[in-house]
Amino acid sequence: MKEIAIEVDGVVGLAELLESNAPKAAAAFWASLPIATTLTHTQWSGRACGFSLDGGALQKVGLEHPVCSLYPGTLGVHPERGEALLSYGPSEYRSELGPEYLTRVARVTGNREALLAVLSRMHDEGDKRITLRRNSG
Amino acid sequence: MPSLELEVDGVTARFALRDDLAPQTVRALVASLPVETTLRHCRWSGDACFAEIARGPILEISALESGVTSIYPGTLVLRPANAIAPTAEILIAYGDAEYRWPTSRMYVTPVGEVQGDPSALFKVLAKTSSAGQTTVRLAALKEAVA
Amino acid sequence: MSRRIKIQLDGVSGSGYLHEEAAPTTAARFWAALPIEGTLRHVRWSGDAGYILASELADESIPIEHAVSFYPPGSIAFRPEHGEIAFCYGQAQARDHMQPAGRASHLATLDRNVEALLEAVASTRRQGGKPIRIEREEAK
Repeated sequence: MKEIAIEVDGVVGLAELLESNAPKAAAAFWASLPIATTLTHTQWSGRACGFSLDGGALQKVGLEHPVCSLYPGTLGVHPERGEALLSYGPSEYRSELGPEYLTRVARVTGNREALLAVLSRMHDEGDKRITLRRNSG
Repeated sequence: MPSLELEVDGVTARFALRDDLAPQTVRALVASLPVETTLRHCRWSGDACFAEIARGPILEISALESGVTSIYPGTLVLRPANAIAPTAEILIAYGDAEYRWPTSRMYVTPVGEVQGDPSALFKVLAKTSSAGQTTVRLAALKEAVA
Repeated sequence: MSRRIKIQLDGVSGSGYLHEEAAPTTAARFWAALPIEGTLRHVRWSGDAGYILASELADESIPIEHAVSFYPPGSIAFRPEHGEIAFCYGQAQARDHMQPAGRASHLATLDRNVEALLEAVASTRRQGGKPIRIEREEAK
């Protein structure tokens, strides 16, 4: 099992890469690590924060087993749009046009509560830096 | 975390119950078990099966908790009883699924996640699409009762 | 002449007028509740808008008046079920977790120092919550 370390505001959570759910997107996302960028609270999708993905191989991958709902602790990507969302509570991938769909690539399993609490604070505190790196596998 | 055992056509699977997402629904569901009921393939919601629970404290639950419309594979969700549909409905997805009624997408409460390799369970669930309805049994595991 | 309200958000002031004819109950309840102070946060579901929850105005019996689903930029929209007062600076709609297209009352419209005020509202998306005060602007 491949594992990603996600760090926001000094808190590190571990996420399991969902290779069986989305083999192409998960492989391309894994290949794109490490990522260090700005994390911003979403304005359409509820309790989730988002960051931009650099194009690369991921951009050429279509949606795999697309979902609209992001259960808390889910990392979803929309490869074509270069968008990633990490949810900390009830969340749906939406735009100004309404419900949209994305691919689940990872889910937070380690230090989950602490990481989700940091994401939740972003509603009050604004942007933060996020880093994602390979932790194992 | 509480859990339940689900049995379909001789295949048994264990589900961890998400009392972190749906504390009241999980408590009422566990208090309503064991249940033996008819399992049917969904018509509107994609790769998923559904079953009704017609008795027990679960019928007292009317509000959704942590509502979702997408049902991830291996997830057990519950639609509370309401004025139009007076029984509670559980659904289990084995592939791409989204809770829908004929007129629109709807919301359900996520209550459980399958543990371990789900392939045998997914196979029997998928089979209901062609073979028709079967029976599902749900029972709380001991630690859930405690 | 319509009653006017003054908004101070993180050092930026602006003002607007209430839609008393189109939304009489909402405007009266809102006027009676002023001044309102709190933290303006960016919406999570509704797009380009900031919001404040005024618990004293959370009352489902207040009817939806001057109804909108999409908020015009520069408008102040009110949702009685939450006591939510939303300041729209771009493309926005009354939405919730399980309600992708809800309704709100178009309560007021900003007409003075609008650009600077809406810029301050927009900044809450990247900078987090900011202190806001809404008060009566008495006729001179």
